[in-house]
Amino acid sequence: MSGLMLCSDIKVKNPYPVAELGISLHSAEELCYYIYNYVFLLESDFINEHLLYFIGTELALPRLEEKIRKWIADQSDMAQILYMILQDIHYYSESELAVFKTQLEWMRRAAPSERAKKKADYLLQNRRYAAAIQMYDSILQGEGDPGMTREFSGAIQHNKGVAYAGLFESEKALECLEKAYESLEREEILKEIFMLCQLDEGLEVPEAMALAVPAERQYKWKEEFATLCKHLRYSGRAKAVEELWEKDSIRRNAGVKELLTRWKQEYREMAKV
Amino acid sequence: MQDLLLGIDICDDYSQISYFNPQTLEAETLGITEEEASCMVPTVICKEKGTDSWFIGADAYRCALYGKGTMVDKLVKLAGKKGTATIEGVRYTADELLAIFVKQVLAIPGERLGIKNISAVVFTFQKKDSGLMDTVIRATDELGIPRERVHMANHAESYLFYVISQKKELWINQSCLFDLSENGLHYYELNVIRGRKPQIVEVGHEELEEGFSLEILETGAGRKLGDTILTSCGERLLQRKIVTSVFLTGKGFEETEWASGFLRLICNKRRVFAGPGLFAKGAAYMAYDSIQEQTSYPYVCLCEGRLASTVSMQVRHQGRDRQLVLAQAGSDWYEAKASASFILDNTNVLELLVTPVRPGRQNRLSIQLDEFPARPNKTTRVEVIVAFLSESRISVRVIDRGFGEFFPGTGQVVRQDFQI
Repeated sequence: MSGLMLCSDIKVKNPYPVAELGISLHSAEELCYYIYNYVFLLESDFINEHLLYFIGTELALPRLEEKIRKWIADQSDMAQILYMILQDIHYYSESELAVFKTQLEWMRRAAPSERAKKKADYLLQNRRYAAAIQMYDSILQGEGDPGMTREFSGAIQHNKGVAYAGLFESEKALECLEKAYESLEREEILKEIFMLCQLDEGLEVPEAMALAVPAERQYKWKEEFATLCKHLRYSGRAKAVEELWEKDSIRRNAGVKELLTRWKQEYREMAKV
Repeated sequence: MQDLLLGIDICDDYSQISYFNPQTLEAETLGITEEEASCMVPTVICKEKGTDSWFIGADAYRCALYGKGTMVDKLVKLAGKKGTATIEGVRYTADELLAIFVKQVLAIPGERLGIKNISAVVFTFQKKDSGLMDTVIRATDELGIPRERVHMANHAESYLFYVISQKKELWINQSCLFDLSENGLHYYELNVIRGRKPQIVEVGHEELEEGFSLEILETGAGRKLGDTILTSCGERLLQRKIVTSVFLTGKGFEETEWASGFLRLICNKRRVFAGPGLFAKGAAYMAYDSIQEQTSYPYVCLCEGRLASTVSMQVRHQGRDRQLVLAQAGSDWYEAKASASFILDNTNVLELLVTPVRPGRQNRLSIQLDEFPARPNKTTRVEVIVAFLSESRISVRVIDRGFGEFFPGTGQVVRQDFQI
């Protein structure tokens, strides 16, 4: 199915805030998009009075609001209500809804630790490193969970290591990646460890791992790292910084100030729990 | 008494005022003063020397005649040429002068009828010119008349509304109009196309080459020549047609004794009406209709200045396919504006359907949106704004609105104009 979907002209006065994403929703279509793509972020209290007000009054969908209230009164579970909301707004096609249903089914069957990992992975993906680390730690605390297999805990250690690397805490990152390798024994983790040690010159590749990888491969990784550094230096953000130095002193100072403010803001976001 | 519903015909030589009388439910013409018998106000303006007073119409002539001021005439033509006039060392643009004229004209009904508020006013011109219409809009803005109460029409539309406001027996077949003025001889023909729902009422317009200066009517020989010219036009235009009614308007038909031969021809098995103010009256009927919740004229009105095709889009709404009409055939092109927002679903092309009212092929207008940023499916919302540059030229603007804060819009605009 392709074509144009007619949108309603309603302009919401009070958008619905989504703290997890740091954004607000302005339309029924955005609400559907949020539910569909971030269902694992939704807590059990997602369907609350605030949301019902947003649907009924701000989006001018009083019938849908009424329907949700009725379903709540009939003690329908949240998954059913979410599915009904998507069906009612008609943003997704039947086939897309079928995929969503499968996802809901997975969520219903998944262990709490699996659901929590999905949420933490989302935070990691969005560079909310500290929050992700906190969530990975809380999953790891539930060691007795039947879903906590060696592979699962290895994957968590790996992702936690990536999050620490994002916060420039190389030692902690190395520690987690080592644990991940112990559990998963995957070569790409060794490569990540190698790259981390290249990045932070204060770190050394653990001896056991250095021995596990042939010198020839390590050499290739080193070359790859050098190429990557070169590439990053002449593209993207590094290039933008370089260009600042070509400007006159007034513009350069203003640019540097703006850049630092932005970096600080980004780091605060990364470090926010 | 309810607020004013006005029709104002602005021509280069004369302007006319009409109002819709809610008691009689008919449009009536209005002279500049109670003493002034004629409803034809010369489109001239005169500034009194040494004061800030402006006069229009016969008063302007009087002021200039006694050397009390400087007069400017042919205001419409001057505005069309973006001309200027220097009065007492001050350079005025034609727009400024026309705006003063329009304001003074608009003050007349209030003074004459004792009603200040205007519910709706329709200005009618020989031909709709966007510059001219903008000048009038600016003048009404300055007078504090809300824009939604001000409408524009051309003579073909005014004639159409005038005729369809008359008893149906007058236009059951064809009806025609001869407009004779200093601006030429214009012929309009109204046809009703049956067998369609809603019924189509169509007006064709032709400026006849045989037009002549009204000055020739000042001599006996000239009057005879004028009559001969008109009679030959009448014979040519009315032959083999079932014309129920003939209307005559314009300064040239203010009196009709000179055109006895022509009258004999057109009065044969037809009802004939002669009189000034027809276009202004038609505009007043339009003003009345503009304030009704539902139109009193359930027809598709086709003529110059009106769209001959319906412009629509195939969209999905609430999970169902439907046709979204952006502009209906028969709408005034100047006022036919529409906007709507869509989400692109697996497509990068916007398609508009142009469906003619008359038999003809449906046309598709496509706009490529490849310039917009690539995003996941269904996360690009576009605002489509449709406006018309003439009855046969459509302008489509598509603005990238993104998808909320997930994918902020760039505001990028793709604009394309099409001949329809």
